[in-house]
Amino acid sequence: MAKVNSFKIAFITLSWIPVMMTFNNNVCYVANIKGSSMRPTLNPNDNEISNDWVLLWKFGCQKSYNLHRDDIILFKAPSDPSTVYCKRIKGIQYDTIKTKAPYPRETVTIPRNHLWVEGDNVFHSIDSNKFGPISSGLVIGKAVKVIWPPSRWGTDLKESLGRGNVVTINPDLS
Amino acid sequence: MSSAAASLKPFTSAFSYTIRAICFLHITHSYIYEFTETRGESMLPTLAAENDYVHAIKKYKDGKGCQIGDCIVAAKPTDPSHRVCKRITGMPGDYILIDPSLNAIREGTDLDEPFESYIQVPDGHVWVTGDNLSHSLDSRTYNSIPMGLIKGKIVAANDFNKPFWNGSLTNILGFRWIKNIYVEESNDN
Amino acid sequence: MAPPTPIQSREEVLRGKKCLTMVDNKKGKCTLTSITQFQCRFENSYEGEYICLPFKRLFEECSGIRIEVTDRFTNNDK
Repeated sequence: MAKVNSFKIAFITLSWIPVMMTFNNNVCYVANIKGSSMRPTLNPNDNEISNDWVLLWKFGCQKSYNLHRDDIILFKAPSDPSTVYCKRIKGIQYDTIKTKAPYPRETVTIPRNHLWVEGDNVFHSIDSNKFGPISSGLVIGKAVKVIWPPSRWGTDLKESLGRGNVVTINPDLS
Repeated sequence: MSSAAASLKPFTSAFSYTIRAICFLHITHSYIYEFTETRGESMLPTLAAENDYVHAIKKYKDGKGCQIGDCIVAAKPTDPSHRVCKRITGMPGDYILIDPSLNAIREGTDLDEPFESYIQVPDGHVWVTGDNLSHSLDSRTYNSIPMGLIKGKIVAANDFNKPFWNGSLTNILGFRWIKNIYVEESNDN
Repeated sequence: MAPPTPIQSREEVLRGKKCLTMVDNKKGKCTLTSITQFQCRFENSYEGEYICLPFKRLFEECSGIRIEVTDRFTNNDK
């Protein structure tokens, strides 16, 4: 009798795992930010232990109406899908962007459902200036809040500290 | 108070079963296996233009273990909510021709022109083309796609246009394996 | 969009391959491989009938580098 009960409990516990996985993949999750390409917005210190943890909002994160300029997103790297990059959106679909070295052309128009991403740390970031615009199909989620360490809870992620004036012709304004 | 809670119980328990079942199906669909219809003439004659259903294995998501010659399902780069079925005809690092099937039969053009333009497939990307080169929107138009957009590999298909019994047990409803067509050439010359 | 990649000519590619295979002289073995796709056209659009002609693409694999070597004689017996 006790054996049947423990099987039942185990089965019920296991049956909730897909629900948790669906929530983690499709609604929200947490992510640990590594690297210095988003300094000073994220990871302002060199200390490994004080790496920022952010709340990653995943719901609808690939839809173009949810992706705005100056959003911080996590996405699969174009050069290696098992690596995840964290950068700020600087240009959305149809924007014309003024590029920076090492991009081979001076300006580029972003195709439909693509994004131009750059790190806030202008000197130390592998971003769209290297690999070009990325498809929104590679986006994993948006970083909405810093949740650890507690001293950084109030960080405003919307304040863009990277390159300004990146978009040359904004189709909304013309 | 407890009687109100008791009358709610069948609803909450039905809800709890439903949500667990839906999430189980969703996770299976994302990570393991998918059976879905394809439409379009870009993969003729491998896949029929309509009513052909493919079996896709999700273990090959993000291009893990995919090789040149495999048939894959991927999100369209310019419209990630739509999927496309194509064949991989270039792996990262390969030097391939952009479009050897282009008929450069115009006045004054070199017959060798389609065989002159090469591109090297970047890291983490694959070059995909539909099997029907005459009627396929693929890498020749939108360039190589990042492997992060690959959702799975197509291993088999069922053609619902065919009758249920088609002569043998392995051919029910037009079942056939979709194979990798990258083969070694035997040197007969 | 893929990262910006330049279009190279056949001569550039084959010249680069020669350099690489010269360095790797012991493994000078190359295999010839192919993928056969199709070019289909509709014969009778009412019935949805079509005719598919095979289109072969040749690749040469030398010590891990794959280069497409299709030329205009691959699908043309002349």
